[in-house]
Amino acid sequence: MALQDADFAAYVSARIPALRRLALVLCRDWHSADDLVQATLTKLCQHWGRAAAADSTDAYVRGMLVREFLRERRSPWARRVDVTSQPPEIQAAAADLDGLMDLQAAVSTLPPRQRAVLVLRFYCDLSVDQSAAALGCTTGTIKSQTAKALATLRRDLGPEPLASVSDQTLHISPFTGKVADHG
Amino acid sequence: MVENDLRVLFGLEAEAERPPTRISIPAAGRRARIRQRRRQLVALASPVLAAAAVIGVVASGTLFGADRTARPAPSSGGTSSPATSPAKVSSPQPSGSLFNPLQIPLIFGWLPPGQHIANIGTGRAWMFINAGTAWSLGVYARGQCRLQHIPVKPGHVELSCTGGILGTGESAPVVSNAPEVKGHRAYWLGGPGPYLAWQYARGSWATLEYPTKAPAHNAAGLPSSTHSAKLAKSALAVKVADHTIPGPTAMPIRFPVQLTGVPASWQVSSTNLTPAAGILAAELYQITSGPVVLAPAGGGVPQNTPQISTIPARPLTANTTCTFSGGRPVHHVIDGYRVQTVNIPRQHLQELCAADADGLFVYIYLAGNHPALSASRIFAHLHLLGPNPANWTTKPIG
Repeated sequence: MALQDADFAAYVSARIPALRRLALVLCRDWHSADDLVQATLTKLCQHWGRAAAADSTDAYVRGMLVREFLRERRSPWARRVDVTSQPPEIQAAAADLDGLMDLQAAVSTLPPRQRAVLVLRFYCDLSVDQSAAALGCTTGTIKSQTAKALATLRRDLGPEPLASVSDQTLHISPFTGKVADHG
Repeated sequence: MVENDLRVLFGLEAEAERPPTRISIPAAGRRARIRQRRRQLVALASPVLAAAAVIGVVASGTLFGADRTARPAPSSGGTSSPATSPAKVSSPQPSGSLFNPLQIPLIFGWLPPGQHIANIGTGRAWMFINAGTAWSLGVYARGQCRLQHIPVKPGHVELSCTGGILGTGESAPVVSNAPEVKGHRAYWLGGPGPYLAWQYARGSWATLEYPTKAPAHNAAGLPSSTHSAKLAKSALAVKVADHTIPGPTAMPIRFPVQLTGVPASWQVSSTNLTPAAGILAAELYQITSGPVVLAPAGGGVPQNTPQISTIPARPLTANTTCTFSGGRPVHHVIDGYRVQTVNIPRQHLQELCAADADGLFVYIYLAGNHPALSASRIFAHLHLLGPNPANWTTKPIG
């Protein structure tokens, strides 16, 4: 048991920064993000044997965190209390900022499940199959939720393209370390 | 492209200035252990107490002390709470078919080298023994399990047990026949397992969860093939099952606290035991009052059941702290001991924790609506026996 605890602590210590970032993108404020990570770690500790034996412990934990996020959002407490009034502050060139803030506002109106799907697809850089595995749903659900979310965003943002923030932008996936050029 | 802009947005959000983290790994471990115990107890404590009995006593305001010989009201009384109403519980089993939570009915007689019993959970309907990191023996009282056809899969059979197969589900499909165990027919089960299942006595089932991770090398030092490793693990599981022996164990179950001055109907319904210095230390136990009835498999958290946990076998350190389900702890001194309590009326939940009460970590969890009963009153009726196992008792209720 002590060895298991040590393994758990070693793994979690190394992953907390990445988990906090993912939680922040989902929850949009640090307090909720830390609460979400704490709740996830408690569950992870309960099921550490299974997580450690999984093909990819990172993927297992990521799925656990996203599902915990959705579970919390479904709870009566979350439905009554909205504590995410202050989205994370983003730093970008002044020319890009307006477009990003519009997008941020539009994303904040999406239902939690659609937001979670977008985060998995475009922040974690997961494929449809991987996203479906993380959320424990079918690939069809991921596709439809993605399509609905993107349609909503396009409708909310209007026909004008966003400022060209993506030119020459490199994005490093927090889980895979893969660098993608989205320019 | 919105997709690309989303990538940029999420990336920038994730890089927002980070405040110091409030995340605590030790707290996660503590909460996980508490939850694990509760979950095990929920599964173990299928005999939930008859609410009618407790409510009757509580209403009189004399839960403690007044009538130690009071007998509980019939469980079919009209004052049952929804959680324990007759409509929600299965038919009571004959009392002779249930376990005594203070006795171990079946235990490992042999384990692979390096594997030792880690903890034991006892209850009335079933119990478990965990060994090493992956071995788990589930023992069910007579009549608690049955083989049945899977309704949606004609021709397929599953083993269904009260409280679920090792608490992970209500049933597990039979995959194939297994070699006999002690001359009894046995089966390999699928589902969350794998498990080996056999009848250790007529109508009484046992299940064994065993490790599936293949060792990198076999006994000859050669790389194992997945198939050969699987066969070896299966053979090992049969050997472990073949060497199980009926209880009681030579090791006595001892409690570091004794509950005194409570009605005679109060009884231990389940325990969580840890081997320590030749005894089985009861780190946690749950009390029920009234006639024993069985909750449906996977039923809700037992209500009106004081749950008492102590951590006597581990050295207390300055870092031993109390963790609660929520709410703001209030500090008190009860009988000279510093305790913290949390009362969450919305959830009908009370918790009490004493981080160091005569060398014991004591935690009391009380769920349910009891106007006249409190975790503090239960603590006041606990006789603390200190950290030395030589002073502990085999009678948790005095």
